[in-house]
Amino acid sequence: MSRVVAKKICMIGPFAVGKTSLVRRFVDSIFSDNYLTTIGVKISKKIVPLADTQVQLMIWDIEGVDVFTELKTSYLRGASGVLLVLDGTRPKSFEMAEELVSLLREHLPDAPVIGLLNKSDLSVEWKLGDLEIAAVEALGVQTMMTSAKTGENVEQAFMALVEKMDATASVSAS
Amino acid sequence: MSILGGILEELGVAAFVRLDDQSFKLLSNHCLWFSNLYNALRADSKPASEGEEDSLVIAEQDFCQAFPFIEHFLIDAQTVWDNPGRGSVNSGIWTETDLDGNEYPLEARACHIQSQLILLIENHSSTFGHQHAVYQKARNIALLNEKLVSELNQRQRELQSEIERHLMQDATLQGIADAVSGHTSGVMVCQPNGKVAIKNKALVDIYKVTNGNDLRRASLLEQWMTEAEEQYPELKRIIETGSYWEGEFESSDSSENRRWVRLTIGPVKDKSGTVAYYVCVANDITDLRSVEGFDAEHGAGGYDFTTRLPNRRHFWQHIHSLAKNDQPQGRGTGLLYIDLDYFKRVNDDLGHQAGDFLLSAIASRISRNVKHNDFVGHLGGDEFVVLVRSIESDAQLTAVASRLLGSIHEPISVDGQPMQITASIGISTCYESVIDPTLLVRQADLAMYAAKESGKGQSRFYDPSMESSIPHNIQRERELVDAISNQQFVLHLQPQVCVRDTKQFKAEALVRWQHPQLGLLPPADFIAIAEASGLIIPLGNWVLMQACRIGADLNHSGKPVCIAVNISAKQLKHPDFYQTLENCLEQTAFPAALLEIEITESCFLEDMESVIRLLEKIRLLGVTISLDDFGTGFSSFNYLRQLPVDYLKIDRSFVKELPEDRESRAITSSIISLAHELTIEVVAEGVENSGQFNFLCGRNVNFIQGFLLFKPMPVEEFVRLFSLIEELNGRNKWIDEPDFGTL
Ligand SMILES: Nc1nc2c(ncn2[C@@H]2O[C@H](COP(=O)(O)OP(=O)(O)OP(=O)(O)O)[C@@H](O)[C@H]2O)c(=O)[nH]1
Ligand SMILES: [Mg+2]
Repeated sequence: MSRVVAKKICMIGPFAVGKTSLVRRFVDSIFSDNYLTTIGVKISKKIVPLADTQVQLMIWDIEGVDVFTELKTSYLRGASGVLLVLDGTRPKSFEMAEELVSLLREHLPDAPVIGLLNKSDLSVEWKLGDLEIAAVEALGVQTMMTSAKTGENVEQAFMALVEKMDATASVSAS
Repeated sequence: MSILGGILEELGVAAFVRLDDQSFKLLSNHCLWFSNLYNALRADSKPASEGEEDSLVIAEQDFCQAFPFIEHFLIDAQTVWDNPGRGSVNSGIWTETDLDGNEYPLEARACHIQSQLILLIENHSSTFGHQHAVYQKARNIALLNEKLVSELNQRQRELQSEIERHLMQDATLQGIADAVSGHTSGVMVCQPNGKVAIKNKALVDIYKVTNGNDLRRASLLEQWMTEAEEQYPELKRIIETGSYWEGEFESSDSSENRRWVRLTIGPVKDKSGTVAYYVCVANDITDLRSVEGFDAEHGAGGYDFTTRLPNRRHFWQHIHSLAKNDQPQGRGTGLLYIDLDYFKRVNDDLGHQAGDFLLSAIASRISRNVKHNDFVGHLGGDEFVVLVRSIESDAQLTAVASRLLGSIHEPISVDGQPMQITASIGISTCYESVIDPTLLVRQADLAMYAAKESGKGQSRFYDPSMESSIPHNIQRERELVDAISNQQFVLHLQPQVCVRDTKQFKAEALVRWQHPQLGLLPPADFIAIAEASGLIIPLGNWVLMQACRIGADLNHSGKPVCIAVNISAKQLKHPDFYQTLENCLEQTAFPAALLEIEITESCFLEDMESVIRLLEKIRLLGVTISLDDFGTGFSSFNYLRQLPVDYLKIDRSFVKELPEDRESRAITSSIISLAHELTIEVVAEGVENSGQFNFLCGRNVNFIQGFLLFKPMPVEEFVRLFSLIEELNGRNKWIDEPDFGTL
């Protein structure tokens, strides 16, 4: 049997951008249009293969950030990677990217971060132009367009993060 | 079980002491919810307490394996355990799900008690629903608000560049001034030397400049730059180098009142490349910011203005969120529907202030007499609800009801007068695993009526025999079939008065059922049944035809009035609808331009494209289209600009809470601005008092409909009213006096 290693990854971002939906799509292959806001944290597990090992992902779905709720940075401790989720239909959500990235840099300087521009299925309402995407990438965050609704790029996003984590881990190991 | 153990279980707390071998020992001899959850989450399925009758001991490794969140928390816990002086540390809420999908919102705490290392795990299931509902509500509103803001911003930018484009294409200043004069965004075009070329009314309104030739304010550009500089130090440079700028800042009007303004400034250069004009567009966003939570005091919203209790919307949200989770086996939910007896009389005799005082007093008596976890809501007027969860038997509710009746009945002094008030309480219960909120409320409401019927001042449990006191839906449906063939319907007309030009008005056609036994029934009593049974198609067609006939008659007698007819989604989507509409217009010779159809957002739910195509075709006939109940569906905000509509009707639930409720104020204002940006006119219905009226007029709503002005009336009465108005207009009395109340 191949080796199983556990890795913690965090979903962070403004409220209602689709963090919970992305996890549910990835872990349970389901989606709901209903919005049920997350309070606190919920951890889901999923095993994914990586080369000759199995990675047990512990996915921390963390409550969204808004004017009443700050990101509790203690939740980030021990994370090997972060998916920073933004909502491509809500300019307000990408205005918050910079602040979140600087928190990540402070508390998890070595963990890879991928920015997910979620809700790509909503093409009519899509508000992210090249300029805004460039602004997010200028923070040093690679971005991917995802849709928890259609499943577009969801699997790929999690796998891309796992691969980056692996690369980071082997660099720091050597 | 020891008493302390029982108390801990009641509080939902599993208490552990950390042993020397790093394992955790449950302090009481059992904790049911915890053992169940722990057993469900363990990888191996052997029960936790196997072989150990008196207490549960869990190795750290097993604990962490079942609760990865605890593994993470132990790091914080350890720092407390290692330092007796450290007090305690809290984990924050996390959620676990058992094998049946039940969710447990949990929170852990580590501390010292008598030099023992303690770990507490608290199960918040009983209170979480309420907390969640408040958060959910705040976020739903914030989302709605974000959508509005982003639409408005987009429109503001579009207007800005439109004006710039016109200037560059050498349009005359006068032409531009005319084009923006009635615009809801404030517009100012000025030269770099401060000379104002264009300033529209909306801008003057934001700054409340009463004196038209207030020269100090000739150009606001200087003032804006100074005001915005604190937040945007780069502003001056950007403007001086001739670049575009947008931002939000606090600004003072002529009487030094602070308003939040969102401003866009764009320079227009002449052929030589020097700045010839600055185009500035400003919007007053004070209300919107308050909803965004900058003004956190009311951020979570959803509370009644007088009693500070959760209001009707909040209550529904709460009960629906409860319904999402199954109830534990053997436990139930009870709803007490409380209605004060003769409250209206108090209100009429002693005035509104006394009434409000009484409501607050009763509200606090109700709150004091229920358990902390019970949900108390104020549905409006003199109606309250108490939702009691996790009951084991009806007897618990009887006790609550009699406590409430007793407490409400205690003497109270209002304006120095001692008085005693009674209430009627209806009680419904549900012991099923899934709550049906609508059913629960309906049954409690019925039981409350029964309590009133049997003499007031008492409580009654729902019982199915109460159903027979109201006509059964099925019977209604049968009667409705007859009513359609016997044409037992009449149309009433309710005027919609134009705010700017009081000579202009429209009317909404409202159907009434002349029921042989029950008398005249309003649509609320039968439209839902007609919808559900499909009878809405023949009924709707009759209404359409009849409205065209009435309109045509009025038109023939020299009274051209636009008549608005409600068309249900089913009717609109019927393949023959267009044909039916054409026939009605043709047969009655009613000019299409005088017909308006009112549809709801639900029409666009499926197959939006083809509905849009149909509406465009209908519009080509000359018929105007109005979008009813706007603001409740939320969905159409995104699509509004694509929809072929001429009017929006703000949903009455927003109007109802004006002008006190901040959210309703903000949402109404932004709906109106957004609609105007898209050149859609706005009708406010359900306007019942002058507070609402004044607020809406202040926001430039186009049409007002409601009891404050006119109730729905039979056609003959409408004709009389029309003649009266014409006569008044003829005598010029009506023109500068928008005082509709006197009619
Ligand atoms: N169309 C579309 N809707 C989505 C998508 N992802 C999420 N949503 C919707 O967006 C809303 C919010 O989704 P959630 O997954 O609850 O968002 P969240 O980020 O977990 O929110 P918080 O827990 O409040 O921070 C829900 O109504 C989802 O149905 C998507 O890819 N496409
Ligand atoms: Mg969530």
